[in-house]
Amino acid sequence: MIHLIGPAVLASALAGIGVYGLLARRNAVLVLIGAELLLNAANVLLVTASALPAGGLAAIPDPGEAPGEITDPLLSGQVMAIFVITIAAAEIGVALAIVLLLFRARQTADLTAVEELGEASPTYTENPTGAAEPAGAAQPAGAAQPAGGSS
Amino acid sequence: MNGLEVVFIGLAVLTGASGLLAVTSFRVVHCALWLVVCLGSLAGVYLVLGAEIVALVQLLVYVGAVVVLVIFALMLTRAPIEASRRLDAGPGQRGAAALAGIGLTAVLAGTLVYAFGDSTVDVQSDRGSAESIGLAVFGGWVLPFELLSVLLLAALIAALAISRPTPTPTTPKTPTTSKTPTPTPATTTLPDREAR
Amino acid sequence: MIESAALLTIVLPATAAVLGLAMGGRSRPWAGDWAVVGSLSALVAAVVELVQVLRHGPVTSIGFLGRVELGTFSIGLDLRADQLSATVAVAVAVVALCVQVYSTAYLSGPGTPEAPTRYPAYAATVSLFTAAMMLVIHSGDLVLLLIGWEAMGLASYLLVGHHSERASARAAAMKAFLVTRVGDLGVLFAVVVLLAGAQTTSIAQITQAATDGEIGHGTLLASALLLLGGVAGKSAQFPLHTWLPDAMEGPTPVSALIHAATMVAAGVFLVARMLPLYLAVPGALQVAAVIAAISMVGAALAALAQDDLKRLLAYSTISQVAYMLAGVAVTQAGGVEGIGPGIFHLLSHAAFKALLFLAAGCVIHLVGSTMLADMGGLLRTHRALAVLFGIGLAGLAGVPPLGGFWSKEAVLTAADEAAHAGSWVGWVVLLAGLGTSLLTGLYAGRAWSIVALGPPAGSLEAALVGAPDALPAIGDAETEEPHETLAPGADAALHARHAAPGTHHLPAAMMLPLYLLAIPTLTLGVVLINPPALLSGVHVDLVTGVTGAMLSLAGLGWAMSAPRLGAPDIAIALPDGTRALLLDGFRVDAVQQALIVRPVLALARVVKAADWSVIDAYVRAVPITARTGGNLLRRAQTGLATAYAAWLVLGAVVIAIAGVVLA
Repeated sequence: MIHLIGPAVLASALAGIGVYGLLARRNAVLVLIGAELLLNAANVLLVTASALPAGGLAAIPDPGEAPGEITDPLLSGQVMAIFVITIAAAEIGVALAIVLLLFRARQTADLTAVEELGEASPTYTENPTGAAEPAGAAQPAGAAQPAGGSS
Repeated sequence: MNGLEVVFIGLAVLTGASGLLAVTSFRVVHCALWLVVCLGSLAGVYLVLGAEIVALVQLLVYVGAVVVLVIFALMLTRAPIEASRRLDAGPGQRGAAALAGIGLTAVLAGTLVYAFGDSTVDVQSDRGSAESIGLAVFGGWVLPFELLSVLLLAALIAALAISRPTPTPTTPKTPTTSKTPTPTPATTTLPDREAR
Repeated sequence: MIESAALLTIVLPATAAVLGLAMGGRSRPWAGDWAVVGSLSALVAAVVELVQVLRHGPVTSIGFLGRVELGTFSIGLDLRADQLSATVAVAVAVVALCVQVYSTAYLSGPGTPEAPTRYPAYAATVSLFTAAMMLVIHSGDLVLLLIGWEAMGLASYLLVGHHSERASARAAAMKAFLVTRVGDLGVLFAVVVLLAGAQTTSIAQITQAATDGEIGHGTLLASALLLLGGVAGKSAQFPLHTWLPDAMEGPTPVSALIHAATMVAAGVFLVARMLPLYLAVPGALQVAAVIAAISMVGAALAALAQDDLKRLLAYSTISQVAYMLAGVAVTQAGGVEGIGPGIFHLLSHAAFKALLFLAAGCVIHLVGSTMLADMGGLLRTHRALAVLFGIGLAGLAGVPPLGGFWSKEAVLTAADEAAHAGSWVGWVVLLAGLGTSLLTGLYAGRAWSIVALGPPAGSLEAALVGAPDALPAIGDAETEEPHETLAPGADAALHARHAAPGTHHLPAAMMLPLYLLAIPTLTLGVVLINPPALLSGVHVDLVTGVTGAMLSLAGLGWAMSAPRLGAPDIAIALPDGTRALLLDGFRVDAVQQALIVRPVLALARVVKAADWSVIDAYVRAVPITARTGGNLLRRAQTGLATAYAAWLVLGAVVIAIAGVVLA
């Protein structure tokens, strides 16, 4: 018998913290940590929802009355929480692969190393050619120079 | 306020605090470790809410695999060991991020609290047992389950494909001067970024 | 018959103008042919009209451009043909024909690259002017008259500035246009006042209503004075006379036609037409008389000291037109008789002034300069021309029995009668007129003595006799302050190649009009033997006539005795300061410059500055704002992916809050 606002507040707080972590960090991997927290907040809400009766919030009896029968044969909340976890795992795998790619290109996982699209960047060029060449833009390791190093 | 709620509150506070520390710490390894604590206590929360299998999967996958991946990534990208302020973006960005975070929290908490009100639910642990979850997954949720496995396969392949080094063509090593020396960390941006 | 004749006097020159431009644009002979044919046919039509009107009486309403409905008013754009219009039309047509014929020779050849003649445009504009003047003369409605009035102003502007490669010509044309425009505003407002006060602009209706006393006194006075403003502008009376001396920048035939014989007389014509209006409100006539008296005497004084032949004649025109205006202003009786003296002087002035200008053009053609200092001895070198010039001067001075004598004395007699009838206006006009007679004789004699008598300019005799003595006096006047002289004038530039005195033969096309114009100059007095109704009020009192004649002859004699002073120019008898003042036209130009031109230019500068910094600032602020805004927005493009994500999340939060609050 727990009050529902507890998990609700927890989920909201985690979401806020996750967003902060997502937006305030410069290291790519730490950004992903924030994303994870965000996903977990969603998970909390899902699991909380699975504790609700089948009719959702409306079917919750008023305090003082006996709680009704909890019937949700599909256990949607918890199952979806498991699925979310799985998806999160898949997502972080791919995301970290991309981070590795960034590291190989710029020798750093710092997001401020890839600011070419921005106009406020000191490495901003008006007419970037196919392979823009700001300082430090090295070809990927063992890059194909002669034959159409396409990019 | 019964015992369940007390435990829940304790775990919730732990989750919140460790999450906060995870996103604000100046040492990367500490971030990863605080993430472990956070995710672990979340598993506890799930237990309190009666979702046993979810808690288990959380521990297995999140703490066991995801965090390990994160730590590996930190290693592979030569994250700085020492305390570094370079991990955080500029103050303006952080201000905006804080604003976004607080805003999101406010909106969500506001609507949810308004929705839930003072209602309570009964927590039944057998609803979250392996048997019932298994029946649900392989019963009603079997198709999404299978799709999920395809998704995992796709992610696997994608991660492999992305992180493969680009194949070098088998041309004779020409004496032409390369445009840049092959990736040497010396060129870099790392010292530049120090200046920021 | 009369209707068609009146219409044709307008339509034929207008057609000649259009055709002359269209077909003669490239070909000189065609342009000249169309011009001469146009004026000749206009003359024929005018003569027919005159004959018919004398026989059958006037026609007061000839439909021309229909009616214009303006709500409560209806303006009929009709013509009228009566003795006044027919007579003046004949005079205009004769002078126009002479001028067109003369111009074919005067502007012969393509000119020099610095001074191209552009004859086809010139001839077409002169035809246009003739048509406009005919329109003014024949107009039966004030609005139609205003149209012709403005068209005349346009033609005058185009012709004064004909040699537009010269800055002085352009400036003179602009000045003429602007000063007459000031007067034209008066006419425009008078039309408005009359439309408001009398509900009509038809001349016949207005004059009838004025005679019957149906129009309010305020309307009458206001419209009369406003029309007088237009008269002062167009007829170059004080204080709007400053444009006429400068308008001598135009070719000499233009000066003959427009600025001597026709346009400047149009103002007087207008007063004559609207005389019942003026008679109903005597104050306006008094104002007109005072203006005329001032112009008469002042211009004659100024003519005494001019060193340029055309400017001398210009000031003389101002003075003579003042005579005409005075003649009309002393009218006491109503009806046609009252305008007799003024109109008679208009006709005789047209003859002798056109003769004088065309002869002056011949002299300029021979000498290659418009300055009096370059002229002399014409009697010896070109006797016929000198004689014709002398006839014109005699008419100007009013030597009996030339037409000029009769017309001038008629004006003085009318003034005398008005004076004896108790009107102070009459005394003013009489005294001014007598004084001007003397002065006119003086400057006419001066012109004759400088141009015709004495040794030819540039010859050894002139150098010996005393021309050098004269030169310092003229030179001093010139060096004292620079003013707009015509030296070397457009005419001079055009004819400079002929500057070999005594050796050039004048073409027949230039001499023939002179002979033609000499006839009315000599014989116009004959008309008074059996005058038409228009001129029935013209008579010459014996005492006045004798007095006037004596004064003119005295002036002539005095001027021609100048050689005893050492130079042919009597003006050296004047003290230098006075002479400079007169040369400058009493500095009225300077006054106008200070009082009007400078403030207007200053105001224009203020407006321009306000436009630039106030109104235009908003316009200029637009791109600046856009650029600044863009630069500001640019700062948001940091390139950092999480920064963009932050914007996204913030936006989503705002929308969510909005959704939650509004839902």
